[in-house]
Order: sequence, then C-alpha cells, then structure tokens
Amino acid sequence: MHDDLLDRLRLLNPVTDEHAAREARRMHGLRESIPRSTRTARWLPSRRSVLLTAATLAVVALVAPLVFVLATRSGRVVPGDETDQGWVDAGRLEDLAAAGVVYLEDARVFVLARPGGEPYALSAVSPHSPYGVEELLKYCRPFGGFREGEHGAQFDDHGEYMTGPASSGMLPVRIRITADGILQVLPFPVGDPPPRGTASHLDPQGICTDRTVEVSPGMLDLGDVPYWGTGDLLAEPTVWFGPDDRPLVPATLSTFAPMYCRDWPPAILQLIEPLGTEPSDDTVERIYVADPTSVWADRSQAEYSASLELPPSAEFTGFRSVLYELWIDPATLDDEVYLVRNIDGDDWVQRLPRVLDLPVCLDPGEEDTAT
Amino acid sequence: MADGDRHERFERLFVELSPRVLGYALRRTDPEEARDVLAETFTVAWTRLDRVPPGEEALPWLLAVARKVMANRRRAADRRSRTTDRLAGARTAVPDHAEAVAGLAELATAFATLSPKDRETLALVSWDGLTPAEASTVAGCSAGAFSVRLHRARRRLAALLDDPLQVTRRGSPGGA
Repeated sequence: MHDDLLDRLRLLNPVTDEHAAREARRMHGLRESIPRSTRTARWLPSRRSVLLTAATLAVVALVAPLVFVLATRSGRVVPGDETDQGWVDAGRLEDLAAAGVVYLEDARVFVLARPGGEPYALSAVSPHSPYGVEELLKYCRPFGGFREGEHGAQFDDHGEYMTGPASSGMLPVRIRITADGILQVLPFPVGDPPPRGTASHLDPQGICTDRTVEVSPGMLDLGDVPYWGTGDLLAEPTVWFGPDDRPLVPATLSTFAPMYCRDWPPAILQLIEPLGTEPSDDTVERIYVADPTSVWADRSQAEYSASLELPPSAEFTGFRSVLYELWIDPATLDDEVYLVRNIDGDDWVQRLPRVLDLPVCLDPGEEDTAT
Repeated sequence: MADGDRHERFERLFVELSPRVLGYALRRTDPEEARDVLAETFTVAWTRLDRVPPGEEALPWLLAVARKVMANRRRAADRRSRTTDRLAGARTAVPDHAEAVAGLAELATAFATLSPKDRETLALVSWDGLTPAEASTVAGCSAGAFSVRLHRARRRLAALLDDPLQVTRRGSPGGA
C-alpha cells in the first residue's frame, strides 16, 4: 500500500527529471533554439483527443481483422498495389515476429511484428521534423516505445504520441506480405499520423532515459551525427569561467551540444555581449559555430578553420573553459571568434565563424528561422 | 587542489548534477527563481568546492545548499512559500489524468492537505528520487529520523485517502 502510494505520488510530480534536464539544457544553451512547446509539459490528453482516439481505435479494431484476412488470402496487406517499385524487403514474417522490432536502416523504417499480432511499420523520422530537419527516433526497450534522442518526444509501440514536442504520433508506413511470406515496406509515410492523446501510457518519463536506451542491431545510432573527429568535442555543455575565475552559471556564454537537430554543426558558441552579463534589451547576442563539415557554410560570415595562427590583433577575453580560451579580434567580432587550446605547449587555434539566420527546430506552423 | 582540477571538477559537477538541482528547485518555486537558485547553489559549490563530497554524496549536498538558498531567499523577500501554488498547478493538471487513473485527484487533494513538512518529506523521495539516506542530508536530519518522518508522512497520507472526510475537516489544500 505504502510503496504503491509513493509510486502513485510520482504521477503528481510537477517537474519530471526529463523536463528538468531539458530546462537545464535550455538555460545552458541556445535559449531561442528550444521549441516553445518543450518549455512546458504538454502531454496530458484532452477529452476530445481521447474520444477521437477511441473512435479511431474502434474503426481499426473492426477493419483490421478484415484486412488481415484479405492479406493472408492475397498475400498483400495493402490490396491493389500492383507495382514493386519502391518496396523494400524487411524479411520473413516469422523472423520479424521473433525479433519483435526491426529497424531498416536504409528505409528508415521500424517494422513491428509479434507472434499472433498484426504486423505494421512506422517511419523512423520523427513527426517533429518540420522543414526537412530530420531527427530519427530510437526504439527504447525499457518502456517498449520510441523516443527522440534530443527533443525528447516519446511514442508508444504503436507510434502513438506520449509526450514531448511532437504534434502527432509517428508516421505510418505501408506494408505488404508477398505470397512467399516476405514482409515488404514502402518507405514513405502515408496517411495522417495518429493525433495526440491516443497513447494509453501515462508517464513514460523516468522509465526511458538516455542511459537506458537500447539500440537494436542494425539500428541507426544518433552518434552518426557529424561530431568533430578530433576527440576534442564540445559535445557537452561547457562551463565557462570569467576573468574573475568565477563560473558563469547558468551560462551566459556557452557552448551547446550537437544533435539538437540532425544536420546541425557539432558545436555552437553563443556570446552575449558584454561578455559575462545576463541577456537583456541592452545586450547583443551573436552565434558562432564550429562547423568542420561546412554544414552551414552558406550561412557563415567566415570560413571555419581548425588550423591557423591567431591574428596579431586578437585579444584574450579572460573567459575560458576547462579546455579552451576565448579570443576575439574586436575588428572582426562581427564575423568570427577564436577558441584556443594548448596541447603539449602548442596552441591549437580554431576560427569559429558567426552565423546569421539560425535555423531552429520548431513545431509545424511556427516560423522556421530565428536570428 | 590545482586550478585545472578545480575547474574540471566543477564542470563535471555542473554538467552532471545541474539538471537534478534545477528539477528540485522547479518543483518548489517558479522557473525564474529556480534559475537563480541554481546559479546561487553552484556559486556556493564553486567557493566551497573542497567541501563538496565525492561521488553520490554530492547530489544531497547540493540539494541541501539549494534548500538553504531557497529558504534564505524566501526570508529575504518575506515571501510565503510557493509550494501551495505549485501544488495547485499540479492539482489543476490532474483531472485528465484522473480519467485514466482512479483516485489520482483524491491523492492530489490528500497530498495538498498534508503539512508542508510531510509534503516535503514525501516529495524528496517520490519526486526528487532520493533514497531516505540522501533525503536526510537535504532535510538536515539523521537518516533514522528521516525514515521515521517518512513513515509517518506516508501513514498520514494513507489515512487521508482511507477517510476522505478528514480532508474536508482539515481545511483547504495546503493547510497544515
């Protein structure tokens, strides 16, 4: 009774650890880049959504057996599809059922098949991927659902929305079963995804964390986002220390981790000037990026370089992190800054170009750029 | 401790534990104040880095600092606790939940009826995810005393749920 009581009390937790982690990251990183929808938990289903979902589920429950009978008779889950163009083999149905969840990397599709159950497939591209900025979902075994590695949206094992910034459930993908029992997918989302509020789970947070995510064999690891190859990553939020050797917490001069959006440069430096001050109407914010793969070359005011000499006019700002010193040339501050790291007595200098027109990951319907 | 080691240790502490400290503060005050509590807590940690215990004991130490920071700020501003507001928000959010989980609204009401001390005791374990030993550091008492406090708080909450009339008799939510 009492342990159950504490468990139930957790459902009243107004701020989950995951929410707090997002907020911490927001404070420490690019404030304006965090989708507005992630700033508050918006996972409680509305009454209307529940009714809509119930109706949808009822229709599915009535139609699915009929479709399945047709499929087993004709060898196709989707009757009437007469061309093989674009269909991708996922494997034998029995093998898929034994595996439970299989990720098709080339197709970016999850196939879910369970013994005695209806197989189905879902696009691994998160529905929270507007404007072509894609984030791939991971299947998370501890709670048996999917989640975005960065934004935190979560979906149950039917792709139905559970929590996070996504505006809907996962995108369904068409499947068919050939006469010899091979399940195939057409790797393009079709139809409307299930609306919010359809999942029966109440609170996946705290169950699925980054540490407990398991990656299926062959599944895309978000680690393939182009980090720096040097091993000297600015992959974690970095604490900067001011000229008085006091830490800037929460950061007003910060580096920001990658993977916020797929295809973003790996590290971002946000300067609020005067340096070390809180942002206000009187401060100026500039964004600089470490962009070794030239992801944002067309947005940059200068060229990224990881091997150059400091310009003679460059000045040490007094700000430094554990690994780096921040140097600027007042004459070129509008275009670039320098990070200097001393390695075995030698200074390693990187030039970080300033970017304008910073794209952000937003919910559909919001503007797609921010400066 | 050498300067480089100090910086490195502090950064590790901040990166690993600032979300937990922020979560603790967010559960008890508004986001703007929580941000200040986070900053003050880690400023204290920086100035007293040698006193921050290693390993898993660091989090309770930081939360204890955060608790004192919040208490000082409240006293300085002569501001009444915002826990009630926070709970009111939680209770507002409950009805949709309650459709799926029977009795959750009653639980929220009963929880809000507990004394602030009981609520804090339960929240440290249930919401902040601390063990009773860790929570005792934050609460500023011995582990044994905290276990007794936790047992009593659970018992009082269970009693309120068993006899909802007590909630009415004890007055509005948030009252002691």
